[in-house]
Order: sequence, then structure tokens, then C-alpha cells
Amino acid sequence: MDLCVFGVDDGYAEAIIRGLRASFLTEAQYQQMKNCASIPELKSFLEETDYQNCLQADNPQIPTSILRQRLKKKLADEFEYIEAQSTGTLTKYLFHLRCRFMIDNVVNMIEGLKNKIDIEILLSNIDPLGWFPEIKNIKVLEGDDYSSLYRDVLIDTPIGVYFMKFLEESIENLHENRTLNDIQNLFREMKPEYIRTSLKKMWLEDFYVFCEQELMPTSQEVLLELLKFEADFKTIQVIYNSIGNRDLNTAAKIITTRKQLCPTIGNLYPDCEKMYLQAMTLDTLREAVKGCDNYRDLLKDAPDPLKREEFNVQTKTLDDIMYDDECRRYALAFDGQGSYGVFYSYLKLKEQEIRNIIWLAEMISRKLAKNHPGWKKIIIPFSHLGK
Amino acid sequence: MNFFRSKTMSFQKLIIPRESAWDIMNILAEQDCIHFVDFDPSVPMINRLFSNHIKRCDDLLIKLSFIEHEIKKYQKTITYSKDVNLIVQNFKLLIRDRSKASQTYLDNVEIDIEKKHLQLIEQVNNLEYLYEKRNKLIEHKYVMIKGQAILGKSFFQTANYVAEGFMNIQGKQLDYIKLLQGSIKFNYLVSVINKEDKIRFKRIIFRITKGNVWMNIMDIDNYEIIDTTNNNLRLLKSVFVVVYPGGGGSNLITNKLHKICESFQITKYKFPENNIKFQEILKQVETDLVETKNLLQMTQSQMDAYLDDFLSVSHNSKCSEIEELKLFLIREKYLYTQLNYFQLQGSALYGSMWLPEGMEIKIEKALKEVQNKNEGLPAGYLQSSLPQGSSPPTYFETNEITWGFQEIVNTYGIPRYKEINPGLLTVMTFPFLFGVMFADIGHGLCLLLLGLYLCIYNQDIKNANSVLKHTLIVRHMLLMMGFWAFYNGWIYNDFMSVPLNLFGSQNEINQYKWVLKDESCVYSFGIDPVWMCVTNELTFINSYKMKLAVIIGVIHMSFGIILKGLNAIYFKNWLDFFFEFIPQLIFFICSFGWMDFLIIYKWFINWTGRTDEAPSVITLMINMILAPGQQVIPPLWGDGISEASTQTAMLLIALICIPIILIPKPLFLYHRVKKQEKEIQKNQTQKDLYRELNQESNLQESIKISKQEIHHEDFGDIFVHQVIETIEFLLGSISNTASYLRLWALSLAHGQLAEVFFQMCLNGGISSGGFVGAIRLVFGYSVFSLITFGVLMMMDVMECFLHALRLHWVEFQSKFFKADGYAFQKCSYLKVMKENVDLNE
Repeated sequence: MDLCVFGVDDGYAEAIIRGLRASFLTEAQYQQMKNCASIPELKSFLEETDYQNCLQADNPQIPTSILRQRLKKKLADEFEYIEAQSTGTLTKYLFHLRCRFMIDNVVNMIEGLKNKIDIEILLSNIDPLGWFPEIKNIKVLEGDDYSSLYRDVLIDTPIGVYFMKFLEESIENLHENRTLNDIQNLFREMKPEYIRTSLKKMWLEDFYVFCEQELMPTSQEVLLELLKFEADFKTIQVIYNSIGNRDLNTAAKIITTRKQLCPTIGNLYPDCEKMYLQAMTLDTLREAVKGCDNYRDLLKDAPDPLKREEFNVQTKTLDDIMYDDECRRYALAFDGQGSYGVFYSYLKLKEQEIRNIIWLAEMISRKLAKNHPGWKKIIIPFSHLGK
Repeated sequence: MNFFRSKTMSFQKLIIPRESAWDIMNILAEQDCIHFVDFDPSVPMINRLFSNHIKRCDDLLIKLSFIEHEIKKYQKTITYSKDVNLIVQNFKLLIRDRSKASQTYLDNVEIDIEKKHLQLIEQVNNLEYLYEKRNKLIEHKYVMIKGQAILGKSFFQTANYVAEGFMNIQGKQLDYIKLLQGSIKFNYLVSVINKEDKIRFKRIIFRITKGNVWMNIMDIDNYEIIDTTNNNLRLLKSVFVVVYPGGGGSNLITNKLHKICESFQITKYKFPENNIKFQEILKQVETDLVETKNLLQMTQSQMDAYLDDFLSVSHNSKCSEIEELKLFLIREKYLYTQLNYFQLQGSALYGSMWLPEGMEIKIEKALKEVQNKNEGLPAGYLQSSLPQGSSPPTYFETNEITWGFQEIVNTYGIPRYKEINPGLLTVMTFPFLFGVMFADIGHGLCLLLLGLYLCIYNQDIKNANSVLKHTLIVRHMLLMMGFWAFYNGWIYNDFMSVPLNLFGSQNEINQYKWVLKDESCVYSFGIDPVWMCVTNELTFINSYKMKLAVIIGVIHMSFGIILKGLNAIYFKNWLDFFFEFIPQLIFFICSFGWMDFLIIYKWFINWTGRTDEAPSVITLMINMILAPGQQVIPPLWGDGISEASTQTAMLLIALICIPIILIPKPLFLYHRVKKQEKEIQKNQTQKDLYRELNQESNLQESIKISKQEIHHEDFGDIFVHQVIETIEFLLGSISNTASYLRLWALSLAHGQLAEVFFQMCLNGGISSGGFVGAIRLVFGYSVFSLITFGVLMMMDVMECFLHALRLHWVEFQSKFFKADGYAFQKCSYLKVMKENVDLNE
């Protein structure tokens, strides 16, 4: 039924997105990009693609950071345009999508301020997709006082809710008779990466609920499936990264941390929760997730996290494997009709494309030999569909 | 005859020494008759020899567009070029008069533009800086005025108190004034904030200080503050005053406020502590402001003069300098793009091209000319050779009349090389078919007059820059369409739904009944207007128009089939001629040709008085297939037996044609493929032997063979293909004939619409007469004319146009047209420059 009325409100936005499908770089274009010998050459190649206008004003020796910024700006512009064309639920939905980038931005700012990086540099590195006016004011952060940061600045930003929940949870987890000192200690030791993961977990759960409650059945079907997988991947990633992590020395600490970071949605939760929370080696993790879909296949090729020191550029890390699998799913979701999945997938696939371009730019600027395995480490959106 | 079939092309190789590449290419591009072939399309443009030059041109064009943007920002008008030829001539002169090599002119232009661009950027920056300064001063002024308004006069009174030494003025920055009032110290913070940030700022201040401050915000009602980075948009700003407790040792709030101000990127302004200083600073700011404004004006007029330089119209080219530079760069870029089709081997460029036959002499002459002009330069060398790979491009020369029709055909597909060009035939048939559908004396006349007007006043309209300018390009088409609509209107005798009685109707009223004046009389031209007055008018007209439509359709399609035969003869494709063209034509004539014959035969018989004896053509046709050989009742001629036998014969011939179309062709094709395969095998063994003898075997040959192998098809494929073609033709001949009924349907729709408009708007007024009728007519007429213009003259013209288009593309061209050629792209400066000039309009 909802397919009949989908076009009424969202047809135009969807049509724009479908039109933008043509802007994805093709495999042949990636091949040509790999053949570029220098950054100026890469740039002039990109000027022949859809990225033409966003690069024209720059000088040929463009640093990769600026290149990334330009590419992201273009994506953000497109997204903003679609957002402006959307109405009702779709607007809310698109806004939710942007929250993920806002979290990234906030955490990056916090991290940068902690490391005493100049605010101008930090501001110029903001992902334009996750820009919101209060971001500049994070500067008032003093030391590790996250609670006052929340109270002063983040409280009425879109991600304020997540931040509050995060603070509450962290404080609750302390022992009963906590003192102010304990809380300060807690914040001092907290790594920005930890904040990021837990904020994103909350965002994912929240987004999941949003999709479940507000969207039409077709969109739900596509999106919930995607989000479940994403949650599962997050879980696996958390477990995987915590295996052999030196900061988490006691088993109890590992489990509480994991519990805090693993999303409470997805195919793995709650059935396999007990198993994966206690997995201390890669094998036990594999065992824990074997019940679901193709996760075991994914983990089969993953390198052992205990031998982290031996990793190098050539290693196909868990992230690479997951990107690859995600990319396939998003491409499928993109080609599905009449659902909001297409917006989500578009964003994800474009992000992947930008990652690819940046990766290639890095490879080119380091002048690595053409037979270096790193060249193969790009995942081309929609390349999975042809096979 | 190079409009009926493509011009004959010859494949030529051109070798040009690298040092004279520019000169040779320059003169070749002026010849307007060469189609350069890319040596290898798979090589990306970036990796070509001259991509660097193209890049340079692109960069310069970007710089020019920046300058153009600035010019437009100052609302100056650029004189665009009207005649590209003038500019071309001008370049020729320029280049001839230079002592250095011609290609270095680009270097000069480059240096020139770069210098000017830099200067301009400097000017713009300067201007921006001044604007910025002015913005700051205005803000400062308002900080003073509004600050005073918010804080009130008493502030300065206490401040005077400060000066007397009772108060402690702290802080090195003067914008923070600390007051001691009793035991509490208050600090003041006065500055400017963007209006849109107002509420956010208020909130954050409130939160951070936990409500321990007093603040007030006032909007600046001055609109002179301009954002130079964003299209000179007006910026709305507000002045705020924050009063907070502080001083002493606790600097917490001060620090936090500092940080917030920084994060909002707030500029700090001096706010004095007493009245005397206040007046002083205010005065200072005002004088600064006046100064800056003067400076700004000066810079602006400088910039004006500077930009005017680009606008000076040179007397040779009759356009602004910037336009001239732009066109030069476009020309240069085009030249290098064409040169990029050449392959560098050693010190010479090797390229290939298609030339219309007979142009070799012209090219040779041009090459010689280059050599004569520059003694030192080696000349290029032209060599005819066998074409490689693709077939030749299709090249028709068009003129103003045929251009539009050729475009109609090209939109569907470019004719194959040397195939009959439907464009030529479209010139005649397209306006005619349009006319059949749009048949109306009045509306046709309007269209005809429009066409005539456009044709006669062509030049005036072009110069006057009128709205009709864009229709000029199709003026001949409009003229012809109008003429045929007019003509067919006479045939149907329809003047905006009213028939004209010009030649005197051959019927008269006799005792309330229409009777013929005498037995044999016929209305001179078209349909007798008396039909308008009878009850079976629509039935008669419909049957007449329908039959006419089918007759026209069958003739049109048979013509298409005959063209197929002509193509087969031209290409000496006897297989197609005997097993496709001939049986198809016979089939078509025996089925639908026969129907046409019946229609016309029936027209020739006088059925007066025995109309119920007249057989229906449709029944005849149905019975011909369903009941072959049976006596025809009622007969069209004789007793119906001879008619029946003729029909059976027709049917049999048509049926026999079907297997002839279907079977022999695939057999022959298969046989041919087999033979080829054998030959290839034979060649292969020979080649193997050859290869053993000579390791460096002929690469070309093996490429050719591999190409042939790709063409290899098995019998199944060939046969299925032929089955599809046959079915398409058979079904197509039925459905296409039916499709020609649109000639009737659109004409009917047109007639009915016209009638409805006439009845609704005018008829009432005419029939009621008198004063009321006159008033009704005045209103009715305005509605009538508008609706006639909008619906009939715009929409219906469009509709008939589209249907005529369809009849050509689908029904006519499918009979013979392969449309898999590609167009001849002549290398021409004029073309690219014109394209660019057209963009300006």
C-alpha cells in the first residue's frame, strides 16, 4: 500500500537521489585513477568526473586533507539540497542521518581540544554533513568537565540527548558511594574513542526505534534489516577490538565495557549476548556469532587481534571485510524501490567512494609501486551487483 | 546528389612534423571540411600530447570567467560578438603581423591575462579589506550609540566617579570596565553579534553564568554592513551589553565569557569609561568612517576604470576585449583538442581523417600555403590509405531549408553511410502529412502567413532581437506546413469549422429538401458545403477522411519499401533485393494495395439511388481472408465471381510471399558464414606456416580475423533474427496502416474543436443579432480568438507536428532505414566559436 503513496511526498527527493546514482565512479574510472602518477593528475582526472566543480578553484598540488574536505562538501551540498526538498517524515529521517556526523564532529572537537590543537584547524576539519551552529562553542570545554560541556553547550543540540544519556550511564556505573573526585577521574581517563562508540551506539538504537515507529512498512523492512546488520557489525567490532586490549585488564572490566558499548539491537542481541560478552579470543568470538547469517564467513578471514603488532598495510583488516560486506548490502538497498533505504545507502556509498578516492590519493602521493597490495584495497560501490 | 546519399568519403593519413603542427592544424581548421579520427579512443585525454595546452586554456578561461563575473557584479554590459567571421579575420591579421611563431600568441595572452587577473584579485581584496574596515567602523559606531542607550546616562556619571579615583579600573583591555559599587564589582562587556546568533548567545551566557548576569540586546537598524564574501548580502547585527559581577580574585566568569566570545568570533570594541572619552572616540570613529568611505569610493572608481579596459570594443572585431580573448582561447583549445587525435611517433604526428571526396586538392593547397608562408617549416604530408576499423561517417550538406528536416531524421538516427537519406523525402512528406491533420483554411492560412512573415522579414527580425528570433530557424518548415494545411483545408472545405461556398453549391433547396441542380454536376474543388447542413455530415466526412488517410498511408509505406529496394540495388545486396524487397512489395500491394484499389474503384461507381447495394470495403477485406473464393455479395463489379477469383489470387500471392521472406535469406546467410569460416581456417593454417617462417607475423591481419570471428553467428541466431523481422513486417503492415488513421483522427479532433469554439463563442451572438448580439459578439470574439490561438494554433500545431513526426519515424522509416551511421564532425573554428556566441544569447 505504501508503495502507492510513496511518491506523493517523497517522490521528488527519491528521483533526485536516483539521478545522483549516475555520479558514482565506475570501475573503469577507478582503474584510470590508479594509473595516475601524481596528485595533480588525479585532480585533473577528478575534474572530468562529477567532482568537477568542487575542485576547480584549488591548485593542482592539493593536500589530501583538503581534497577530502572538498569531496565531503560536495556530498553535504547534495544532501542539504535533498533535505530542503523533503517534507514530513523524510525531513526528520534525513536529520537523524546527519546526527551520526554530528557525533563524529563533537568527539573530534573534544579530542582536538584535549590535545591542544588550534581551534581554527579543528573547525576547518569539521565534516560539513554534521555541522551545527553550536559546534564552535565546544571551545568552552575546560579540562575534562564533560558534564558542564553538556550543560552549557550541547544541551539543546540534536545530540544533547545522547550525550546526557551517556553521562548518566557512565556515572551510574561507578560504585555506590562515589565522590566528585571519582567522577573527575572517570572523565579524565575516558578516551574520546570510547565516547564516540557509546554515543554512536545510542544513536543507532534511537534511529532504530525511530525507523520502527515512524516509517512506512517498506522503508522499515529495508532499513531495520540494514540497521540490524550495522548493529551486529558494531558489536563484533567492539568485541574484536577489546580482545587483547591492554587497557582492559580484568575480565569484569572487559565485560562491563563491552556491555556498555554493544548495541542492544540486531540479530545477535539478546540470543548470543552472553556468549560474545565473554569471548576472549577470536575463535570464541567466531563460535559466539556462528548462529547468524554469514558472520562466521566474515570472521573467517579476519586476522587475529592478538597479533595486532604484526599488522601492516597489506593485512585485510576486519574493517575492510566489513566495509566490503556493507557496501554490497547498501548497493542492494539503493536499488530497491519506494523506501527510505535509498537515502541511507546513498550516504554510505558516497562515503565509501570518498574513502576510496582519499585512499588512492594517499597511495599516489606516497608513490607506491603499482604491484603494491594496497592498490587493491578499495571497495567499489555497485561492483557487487554485476556479478 | 549528396543530399540523397551521403557524400563520398575518402580516408586520408596526415603526417605533420611536430614543429609545424600548430600552423598546419590552424589552416586545416579553417578549411571546414575535415573529420579527424581519434587514433585510439581508449587513451584518456589527460595522457595525450597536448593536454597541457588544453589545461592552460581551461585555466585561462576560468580566470576570464572570474573577470567576467566581476564585470557583471558592477553591472557593466559586455558587447558580445555578433559575427564570428570578423573575429576570425581579426585573428588572422594579428597572427600575420607578429614576427614570432604563431603558436606563441597563446603565451602572450596567457601572460597578459594572468597579470590582469592578479591585479584584479588584488583590487578585489583591497576592496574587501576596505569594506571590512567600514563594517567594523559602523559596528563600532553603533556599539557606542546603542551601548549608551542601553546603559543610560547614569553609567557615565558613575564612570566619572571612577575617573576621580574612587573606582578601580582594571584590565588592560579598555572594553572591560570594572566598577566598584559598594563592595560588589560589576564588569561590562559591550560588542556586536550577528542577529541570527542572538538567542543562542543569550542562552549560552545564561547557562554558563548560571543566570548571574544582566544582559540586553539591541538590533542595529543600519543596513550598510555588507558581507563581501557572499555576494554583498546585507548582514544584520545586534549590539549586546552584558553586565556581570566580577573583579576581585574570581576571574572564572570573565574567562568563560572570553571563551564564549571567541567561539562566537566576536570582535572587541573600545567602550570608554567616561563621557569625555566617549565623545572623543565617537568623533574619531565618525571621521575614520568618512575617510574609509572616501577611500572605498576611490578604489571602486579605480576598479571601474580597470574593468572598462576589458570592455573596450575594438573596431575590427566589434566586440569587447574580454569576449575576443575568450573566443581566442576557445579557438586555441579546440585546435589542441583536434591535435590530440594525432599520435606522436618520432618527431612527427600521425593522424587520420575522413575527407569528402574531392577535397584533397584543397587540403594539399592549404598545406603548400603553410610551407610557402614559413620558409623554415617542414610541411605536412597527405596520403590516402585504406580505411581501418569503422565505416565512414555520413555527411550531408544542408541548407536553411533542409536543415530542420535533416534534424528530424538525425534525432531518430544518423543514416548509415551511403544509405538513402530520409531527410530529403521528409522535406516533402512531412509538411504534407502535417497539413492533412491540420487541414483548415483559416488556421492553415495563419500558419502560412506566419511562415511568410518569417521568411520575408528574416533579416529584420534577426536584427531586432525579437521574440520570434528563435523560430527563424524553422521558418521554411512553418511556411510549408502552413501551405499544406491551407491546401488541405480547401480539400476538406473547412474554414474554422465553417465550409465556404465559393464555387456555388451544386445542391439547392426544393420543397424543404436538398436536391442536385442537375445530374452530373460536381462541386469544383473540395467538398460541397451543403454537407454541412445534412444530418449524416459527420459519417460522410469521417468515411471520406479515413479512406483518404489509408490511401496516403499505403502510398507512403510502399514508397518506403521501394526505397529499401533502391538501397539493396545501390549496395548490390541481391539477397535483400530478391528475398526481402520484392516479396515484401508484392505482399503489401496484394493486401493493402488491393484495399486501396477497392476504395478508389468504389468511388468511381455512381451509387445514386441504390446506396444499400454498395458493399462495405471492410467486409470485403474481411471476407477475402475468412471466406476465400466465395462469391462476393453484394459485388463491387460484375456478378461477384470474377471479383472473388481476383481476391483469392491476391490472397494466394500474398501468402506465398511470406515463406519467401522468411526462409531463403537465413539459408544464404548461413551458407556465406560457413564459407567464410572455411576461408579463415585456410588462412589460419597458411598463417601458421607463415609465422613459423617469419616470427613477426602481420598484426593487422590477425586483428581483422579476430574481428570476423566476433561476427560469427550460428544458424539459430540468423533464423530467429529473420523470423522476428518477418513478423515485424507482417504485423507492422497491418498496424502501420491502421496507424495512418491518425491522419483522419487528428483532422477530426481539429475540426470538432474548432466547431465547439465557434458554437460556444460566436454562434450565439450571430444568431441572436441586434444590439445584444453585438455585445455578445464583442465578448465572444475575444474569447474565441484567445482560445483559437492557445488551443488550435499552439497545442494542436504541436500535436499534429508530433504525430507527423511519429508517422515518419515509425511507419515510414522502419521500412528501409537502418540509421546506424555516425555524423561527420567537421573540424571548424567557426562552429565552436558560434556555439559559444550562441550561449551568450
